[in-house]
Amino acid sequence: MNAGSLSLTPSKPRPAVSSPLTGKQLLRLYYLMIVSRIADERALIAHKQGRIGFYVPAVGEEAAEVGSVFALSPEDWIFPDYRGSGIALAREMPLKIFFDQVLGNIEDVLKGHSMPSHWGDSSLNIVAPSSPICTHLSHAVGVAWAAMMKREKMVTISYFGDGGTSSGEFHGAVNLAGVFKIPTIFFCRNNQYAISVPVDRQTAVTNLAEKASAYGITGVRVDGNDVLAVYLATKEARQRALRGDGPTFIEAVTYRLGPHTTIDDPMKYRGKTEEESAWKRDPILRFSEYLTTLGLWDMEKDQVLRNKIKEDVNLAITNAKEVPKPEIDSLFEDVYSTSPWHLDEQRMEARRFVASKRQIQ
Amino acid sequence: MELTLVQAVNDALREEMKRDQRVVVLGEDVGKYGGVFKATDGLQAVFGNERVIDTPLNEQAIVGASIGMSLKGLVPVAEIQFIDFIHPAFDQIVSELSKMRYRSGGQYAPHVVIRAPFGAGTKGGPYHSQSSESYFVHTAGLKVVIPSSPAECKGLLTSSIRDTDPVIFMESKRLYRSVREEVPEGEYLVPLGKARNARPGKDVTILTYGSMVQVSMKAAEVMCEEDVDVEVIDIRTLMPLDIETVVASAKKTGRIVIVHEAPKTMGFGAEISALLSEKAFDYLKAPIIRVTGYDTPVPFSLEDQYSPSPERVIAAIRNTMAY
Amino acid sequence: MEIKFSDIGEGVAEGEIVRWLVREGELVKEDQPLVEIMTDKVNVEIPSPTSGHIVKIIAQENTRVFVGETLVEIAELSTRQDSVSPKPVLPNSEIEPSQILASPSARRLARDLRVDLAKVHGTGPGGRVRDDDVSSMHRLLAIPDKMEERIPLKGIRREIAERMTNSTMKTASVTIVEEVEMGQVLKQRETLKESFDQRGRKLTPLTFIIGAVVKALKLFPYLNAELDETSGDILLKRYYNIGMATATEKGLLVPIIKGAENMGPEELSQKIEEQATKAREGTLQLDDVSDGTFSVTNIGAIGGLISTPIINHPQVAILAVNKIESRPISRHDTISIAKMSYLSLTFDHRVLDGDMAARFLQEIKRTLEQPSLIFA
Ligand SMILES: Cc1ncc(C[n+]2csc(CCOP(=O)(O)OP(=O)(O)O)c2C)c(N)n1
Ligand SMILES: [Mg+2]
Repeated sequence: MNAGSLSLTPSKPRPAVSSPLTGKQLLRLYYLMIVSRIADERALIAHKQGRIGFYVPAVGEEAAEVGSVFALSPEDWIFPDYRGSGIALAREMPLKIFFDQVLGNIEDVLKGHSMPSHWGDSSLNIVAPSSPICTHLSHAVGVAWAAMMKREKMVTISYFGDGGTSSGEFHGAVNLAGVFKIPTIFFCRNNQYAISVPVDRQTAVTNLAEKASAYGITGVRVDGNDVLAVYLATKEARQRALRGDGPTFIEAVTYRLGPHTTIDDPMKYRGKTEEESAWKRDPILRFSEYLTTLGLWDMEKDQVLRNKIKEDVNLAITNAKEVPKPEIDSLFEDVYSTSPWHLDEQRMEARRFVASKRQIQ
Repeated sequence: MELTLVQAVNDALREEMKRDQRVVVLGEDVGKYGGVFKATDGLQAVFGNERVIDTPLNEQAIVGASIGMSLKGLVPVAEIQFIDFIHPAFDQIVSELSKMRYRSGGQYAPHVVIRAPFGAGTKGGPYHSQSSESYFVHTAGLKVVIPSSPAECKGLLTSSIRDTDPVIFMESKRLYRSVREEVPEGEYLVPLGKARNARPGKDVTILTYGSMVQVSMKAAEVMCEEDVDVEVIDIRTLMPLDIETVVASAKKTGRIVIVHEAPKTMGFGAEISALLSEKAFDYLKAPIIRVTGYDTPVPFSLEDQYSPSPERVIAAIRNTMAY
Repeated sequence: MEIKFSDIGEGVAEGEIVRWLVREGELVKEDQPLVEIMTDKVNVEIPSPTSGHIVKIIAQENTRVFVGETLVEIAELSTRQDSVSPKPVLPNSEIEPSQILASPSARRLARDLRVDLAKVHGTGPGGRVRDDDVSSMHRLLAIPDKMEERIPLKGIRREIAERMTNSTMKTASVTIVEEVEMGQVLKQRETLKESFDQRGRKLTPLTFIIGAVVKALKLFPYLNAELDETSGDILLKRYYNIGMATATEKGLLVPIIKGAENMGPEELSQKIEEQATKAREGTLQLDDVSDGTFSVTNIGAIGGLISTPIINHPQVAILAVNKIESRPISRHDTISIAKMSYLSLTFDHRVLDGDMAARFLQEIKRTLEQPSLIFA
């Protein structure tokens, strides 16, 4: 059992020499975390302004999301859940595509079919998620299984929360992956809450990573606010999978600094002091300090970068809002490979009502 | 070659696995044991345990993994041991299998067949005799296919495996071994979405599927003696429904009896009845009558009373004729 | 958009709505037939110029419409600003008391057959009206049960009534009658019959009569003419389009044999058969009934010794062939038996006089008695 084999919430950044990445890569990591943070922050503001309808922020979980994606190869398939802004952006999803999805406009690659914040794009090997908890874990198992049969060198990774580990889906998928040594990574963002329910109400084990032992697979508990630790743990899990040593369960210990979604008020279930102390462990703050120590970064650069990204994000939101809604016909697309008669009938009916534009006052 | 329905399933799987390397079979006990009904008997010996997979006992993982495999280019045919045990996988079917194509704007489209035995007639009681087709017909994105005989079964299963949409393929246990029929050897396809006129007639139309086709045919024979000419339509594909054939027959006879084993309330018959009132109202000579299982769990002791019998179908025909 | 009864050519100015093929609220496709209109003794189906919903049917069945009048309003599919919401497709709004017990199918049948459901005796349980009850009521209605019965004058019947009145009022018609021996025609027919039979063709005396008429018309152009009442000119026509009055279930129709002067016996008989079939089956096109120059009516097949046909205005003459029967005649001062028939010619005295008409008729008689001359 490998639980705890990596750093357990180290209080001090690692020394520079041990960095597994080049300076350029470190800065890239930082950049991606900042984009994720600002996209989330601006989206929350835009929501309050009534400019976007719904959003799921990952504020505070950037190190976990960005660090893990950074350890993957482009051919690896990612199965995110709804809290995936950092995942999508770390896969270099352009801000335009990102916000077109949030607005569900006619240029959304998901055609406005899915809920906001459910990013997916086959060109990035990000599988569009659903909302039910942990249903995508077995899909990640299946894809990796097929790849294994085809002798393809790739892994899959699925993302989920601490609450998800209580679901039957989690059990079914992890168990199956263990039996067949499937090259997949189960990546749990333990952000301490499932909406309002704290993690100690999810399970009687204190370290979620221990659950891995029940399935005979490797479990790893990692400081989810340490982007490099996350990176290393994921990279190692990937190599383990490719070696044929089976799946890894990674528990990234972190904290959800923001609300669960745009329709949540955390003050109803946790105190200000708790949040304030969590902000002290903000992964972005911590990484910028680390970069500064290395001499790679300074406050001035930081401000310039943040301003630039803020502009880009605002523009992306404004532009996405300008793009029209999808055509009525798109409502009926992609239900089946070809449209059966009853959907044709319903499409004609819907078109008629759109054409008549008559509304009851 | 004369086969039973369960042999026809085996034959269809064998043919498709031979023809298409992408086809894999997975489920509980499907490998070495060949399935509890022997539908996958001998397949593992031929195709190996990578393509005929005994899974852990977890329906949601079976369906979920099948979805994943299909996203990576395989064509999984998952067996759920009894339709009664598909419910743990309900979320995978209703939230994932059916909606993935839609929610991803067509980017990720699972190509999966789920086979499951269903229905009463083998003294299974509440948990081994259910007919759950309505749940799946009600779920946009799924196709639902139910064969009525061995040859039909081979042709429809083959078409289901080749169809790129997810298919719930329900096999009547009652028919598994009770009928033998000449089944074409080699490749044999029966198109999805097309009903079959099993017995042309002009006075009354029976709309039915699965094992109830047999029951209806028996009733039709008896009605001959009363000079009532009964048409029996085997619906075969519940979703998408062959509305043309159904409406044409309704317009021809003006009298409709719907027969299925599933409970009456919100059963498939309710849907057909509503469709006919929309599309053939002016042609109806009598109210549409449903002969179905009762709105109770399937009982163990009185299972035969629960399922529609030829007698119940005959009574319905007489009622509609007398209207 | 309003769909108007447009000028469909051939000088058609008005028509009668025979039947609507669509209902209010219905979605129609471009080119889908909307309505059947009867003009000048033909029925035309007017195709929809656009796709859309039928908003309102303006011209009702059995009423007349003139060119330019609105038939129906359609809310086009493509023009989105036409904010007309679709009306539900309701069955024909003719009152149909819902409290009468009747199956939907029986109600439809009653609507189609125009049987008043309230008057139908239901034989189903509880007095429910079944399909059979409606059909038998419909049969019953066909037999008049009163001393008098009113039949609305409509369709072809009304068309005929108007044309006949018009002709009698406008022309100065005179009828002359001549006797003709048809023995030779019948003999000639016998000779040709076999070769016609072999090809599955029918050869009737009408072929010879039309042949003889065309031959005579060439000699007497005033009978193949028209009086242009506005200019006061007589228009002589050098083409021979012979109308053949044909009895059909709906009434008398007069399909035209166009360019009869260019036809041999075979082609002519084939054309006669064709046009007669079309008339009976109701498939005549506008072109089949327009531009006649002279008419022939062969009522003798049914009976009647002598008739006085009415001119098919604006033509100026019509020939009726009456019953052919064996009669004693005087030939070379002896009485013999021959196949005889009377030919009645009605002509418009405004255009020609009796002497010319008589000579024309003599010419026809001469030819019919020597039928080998007809197609010579
Ligand atoms: C099966 C299911 N039950 C309930 C929900 C509603 N729900 C959405 S998120 C959530 C909490 C999930 O918590 P966790 O797994 O810790 O993930 P986090 O939101 O913290 O990232 C719940 C209960 C759901 N989406 N799916
Ligand atoms: Mg959580």
